[in-house]
Amino acid sequence: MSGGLVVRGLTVRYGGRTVVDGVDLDVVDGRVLGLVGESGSGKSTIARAVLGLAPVHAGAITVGGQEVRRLSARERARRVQMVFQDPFGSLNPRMSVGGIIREGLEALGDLPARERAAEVTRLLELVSLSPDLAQRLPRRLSGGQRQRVAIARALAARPGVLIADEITSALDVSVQAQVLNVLRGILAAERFSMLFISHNLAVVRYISDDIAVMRDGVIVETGPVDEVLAAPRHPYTRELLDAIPQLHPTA
Amino acid sequence: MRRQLRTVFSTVTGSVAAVLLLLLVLLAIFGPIIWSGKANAIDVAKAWQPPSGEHWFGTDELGRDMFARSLVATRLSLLSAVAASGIAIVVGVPVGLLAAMFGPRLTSAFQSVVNVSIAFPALLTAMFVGTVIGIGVPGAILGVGIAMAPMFARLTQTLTASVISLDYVAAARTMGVPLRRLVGRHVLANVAEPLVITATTSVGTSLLGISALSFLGLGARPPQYDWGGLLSTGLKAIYTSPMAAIGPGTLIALSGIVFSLLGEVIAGAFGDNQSNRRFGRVARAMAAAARRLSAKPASPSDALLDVANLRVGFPSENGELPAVRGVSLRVAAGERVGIVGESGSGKSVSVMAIAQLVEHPAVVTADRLRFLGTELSTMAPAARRRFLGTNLAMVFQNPMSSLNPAMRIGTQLAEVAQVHSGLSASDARTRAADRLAEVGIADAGHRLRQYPHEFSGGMRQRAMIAMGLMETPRLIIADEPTTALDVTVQRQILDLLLAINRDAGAAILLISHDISVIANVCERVVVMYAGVVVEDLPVASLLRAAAHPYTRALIASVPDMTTDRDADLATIPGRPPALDDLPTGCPFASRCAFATDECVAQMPPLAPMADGHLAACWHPQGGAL
Repeated sequence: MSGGLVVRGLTVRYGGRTVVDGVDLDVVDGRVLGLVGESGSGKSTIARAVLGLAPVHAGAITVGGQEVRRLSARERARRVQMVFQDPFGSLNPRMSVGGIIREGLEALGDLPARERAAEVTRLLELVSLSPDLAQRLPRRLSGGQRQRVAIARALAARPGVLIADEITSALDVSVQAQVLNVLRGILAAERFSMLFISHNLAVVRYISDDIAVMRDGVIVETGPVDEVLAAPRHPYTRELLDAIPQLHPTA
Repeated sequence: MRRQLRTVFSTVTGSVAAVLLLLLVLLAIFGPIIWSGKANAIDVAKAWQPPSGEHWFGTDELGRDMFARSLVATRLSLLSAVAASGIAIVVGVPVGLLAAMFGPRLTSAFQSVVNVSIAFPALLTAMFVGTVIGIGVPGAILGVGIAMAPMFARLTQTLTASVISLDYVAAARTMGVPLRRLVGRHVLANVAEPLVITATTSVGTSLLGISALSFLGLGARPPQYDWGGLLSTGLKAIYTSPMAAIGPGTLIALSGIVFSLLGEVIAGAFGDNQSNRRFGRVARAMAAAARRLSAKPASPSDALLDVANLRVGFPSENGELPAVRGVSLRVAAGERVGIVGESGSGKSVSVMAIAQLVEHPAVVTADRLRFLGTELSTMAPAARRRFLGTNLAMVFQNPMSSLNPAMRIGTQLAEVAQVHSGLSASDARTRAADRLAEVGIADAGHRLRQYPHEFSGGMRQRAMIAMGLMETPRLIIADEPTTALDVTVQRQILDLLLAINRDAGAAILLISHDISVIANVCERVVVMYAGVVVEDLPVASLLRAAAHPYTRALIASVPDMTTDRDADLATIPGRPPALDDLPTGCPFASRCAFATDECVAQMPPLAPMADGHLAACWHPQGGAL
């Protein structure tokens, strides 16, 4: 099931504090929107609001035209899935890799039981992991392998929208590249749209089609990646760009 | 789990607990079958007899054998105790789960109720419930069970609250996993260990509680009897036939101890989960460490910092883990050097060892560890502290852990100058204000009176740097100083380090996992992998002439603002070797595309590639990246 994510006038408040203030976002069907901003800017709160894990004060969140807050948990799971930042905290230490992925299939329940094992294998191969890993417990995997298991679990639901929240920031750089490559491969092979949240502008640039720059709960600039980064209009976007330490001299 | 239990039961405590438990269970099963007749045989003529060969614990007022009665009472006593604990669990655990899982309002209401009921003496609660239900065994069981339920409720609530905030529970929720399964698989499975332990020890507590109620006449009543009831009977003849009371009393105490021991044994089994696993690797790791070749020591010079063949080992149950294996490093006065490496490369441990911050039981050795021409390893500790305190400044990743949260920033800064330069309090304060201003903190006079928590992350890092500048350091070691900071703040801190280097002439040793951070600040970069230096080269040649395949892969795998978005990123297959399983040859060989048999067999020495460029590789690569 595909269908983009549309957020309109989203406001999230914790107590009296407004963390997300009237945000509009469009994750266009089949495209990747990179959401970039510094800590405390509210990027992760948007993800949590979409998944029903944060209190929405005002606004609308629709996936494929349907308001997610009116969907049942199962219906929402089919439309939106998420991969979390910490690959050590996001996998149940007591469940095998296969069990973790199978749980996603069971929860949705539209695959006959006898086909689930084959689907687990397919998903593991999709994220470039050996199907032999299915028997292992998460603690025997490296950080990069765990993060790929988390991606496979999310894709088990065949969601229309995948939210990736800082999924490479806890990884070493060489491992980050593995995860990014896997993600790019899947984006080419399967049809879904993605909200890719990161503080790392270079990573966002590499993986995204569109970009939204967030600061203090507000989106300050948004547009196609090439346009925004080549000619940033908002001073904050320019400040972010100037602050990035560069290895290669910019042309 | 089964295997761990087996190992634990082979310990002394474990086997004692197991044997005693088995004995109690057998007694509970067979006691009434074997001794019922004797226990109930009334012979009034033999009432209140003292202990004898025939009656070990003596007899009661109807002449019944107290020893047989004590053995028979095992079943009722243990069953009641287990039942009471069962009730406590069945009531307490769901209440705790509900309170933790359904919103903050329910949680706080729950907490006040539970806190009050825990504060209320359990025995009083038990007596109250028992009296309301009706005096007898069921009343006592229910009473003790309900009295203990709040303890389980609170334990479950705290444990659940800590698990439920973890991402895998959120992940399961977003997956639409049904509540029943969410609780079972994701919450209960991960809080089970402490609950099982508490449940086991609670049987002992229940036993004491029920015995006490029976003793007071609120539990088992004739013709039923448990240990508490027998104790009460025996107490009537304590002066003539003490064993009639001591016998059942001992059994109560013994059983209580068995269940406590059992809880401890189970806790041990859970705790041991992983620690024994690597046992077999000891010999291999030690043999490999012994074979390891060291990097060639650099020639001595008048460098500001001159380190040769630095080694750091951390003792573990599997022998010493070599975190740093022969690092040689030189920093000239005023030079900016970066050390780059991934987690576990030994970069932080190396600089901590240089700064004399690696403590026992870690073992630090070096052929040479010279700073400002003075050998650090032979200095007296007090003199060394003073020497480093004035000449070396350290900046860490997390300034909050290096600043004292209970002291004002100004006091902490001033203290440095008072201790090292013997400045007066007011002079030290003036200098502190100057330094804060120098690192770009506005309104320094006001800021001095604030506490660390009133500073933002970037400001704390500035305050740390200002603290380092209270003396006149010749070298600033900054270990991942910007990793926890936002990119715009990172820029400011890096600029600040550059400015200090330029204006005060202090050399900088910057440690980072991010090679582009180092490229922006430093003149020279040292690349570390698996505890050794694999390459040491000028930053200017990094893109042009990096020779080690690891360095090249590290550069190619990091996307930056010029990376081709239509091509895959370069990756490094596999993962770094574990410290307890290091290879004999080049540590990168198993992940390297250019590796040959030579690389596997022998560690390449750090050899000159060009002027000021060293690499430890049998097959150095060339060409621009």
